[in-house]
Amino acid sequence: MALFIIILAQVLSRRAYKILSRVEELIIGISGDKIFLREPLLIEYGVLKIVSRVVSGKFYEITSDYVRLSEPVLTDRIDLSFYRERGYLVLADHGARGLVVLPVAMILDKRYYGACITYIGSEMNDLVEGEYFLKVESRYGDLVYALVTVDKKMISGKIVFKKRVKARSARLSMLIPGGTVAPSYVKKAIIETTDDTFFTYRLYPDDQVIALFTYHRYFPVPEIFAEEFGGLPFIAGFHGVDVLLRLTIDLPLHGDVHRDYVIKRKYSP
Amino acid sequence: MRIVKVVSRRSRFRLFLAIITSTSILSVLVYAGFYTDAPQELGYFGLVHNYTCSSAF
Repeated sequence: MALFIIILAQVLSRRAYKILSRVEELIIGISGDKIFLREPLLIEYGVLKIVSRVVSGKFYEITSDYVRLSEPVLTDRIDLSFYRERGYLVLADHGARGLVVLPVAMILDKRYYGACITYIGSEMNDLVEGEYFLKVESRYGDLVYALVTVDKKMISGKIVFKKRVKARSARLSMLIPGGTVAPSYVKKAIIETTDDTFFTYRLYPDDQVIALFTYHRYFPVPEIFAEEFGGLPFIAGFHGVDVLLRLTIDLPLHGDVHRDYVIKRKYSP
Repeated sequence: MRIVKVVSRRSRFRLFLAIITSTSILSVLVYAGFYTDAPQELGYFGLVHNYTCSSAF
């Protein structure tokens, strides 16, 4: 039975790939604030939310929810303002924990049924530009501080590390805490250093991205988005979640010392 | 502008794995079928059994 399911999944995934290739050929490109298509398609707009969480041990469950926002319309262009107004969020961590919230244009034509078109741009990152001064000190006299600049495309700055005997390294990471929205916290290392250093960390995406996927109840999972976009762990979009910067002093055998700073986010309805 | 198709990259490997597994399971079933359930004159082992029995007489 399991074998049959695997073979069926293969057949379906091959079919999905063919549909996506055909949809890719249909897209002319982005001009102004619209995606232009070669022929009019029956499209409806909606928001897709997929959550994957570990239930017990190795088993994990995927729940998905699609909310339709408009009636189907026959059109050959998709307005980017639909995506920009809503923002997006892709979180994925090792162990199949993740969350995806994406505004999608779903194609309802029989030939491409279920294919979804999503636009992702760096202007959609929900972070407000700003500067942050971070400082952590251990009780052994180790001191690290960082001046961090955050904008839509990157996180950059300088770390100054004054270590005594105990500390091994200083680490700056970006963190999404678990709560009602996210199934679990996701942490992405920005830089780890043993000395004073400048750093630059580019946020995803660095270009305009049109993501194509076929939607059904158990696919796609957040992990697959992360694999396609940049690898695990993965954080992008930041819509509807708190984002923290964590500065840590690594103290072997004495426990790490860290302090969290909240990054300001743009309010999105 | 970049277009990304979100599909599982592991699908080809899983297809390969499925073919290998199904072939192995089928071969085991065929082997077991000849050895136990099938009439003796149809299976290789049945023929061998007849031959050895008749040669014993």
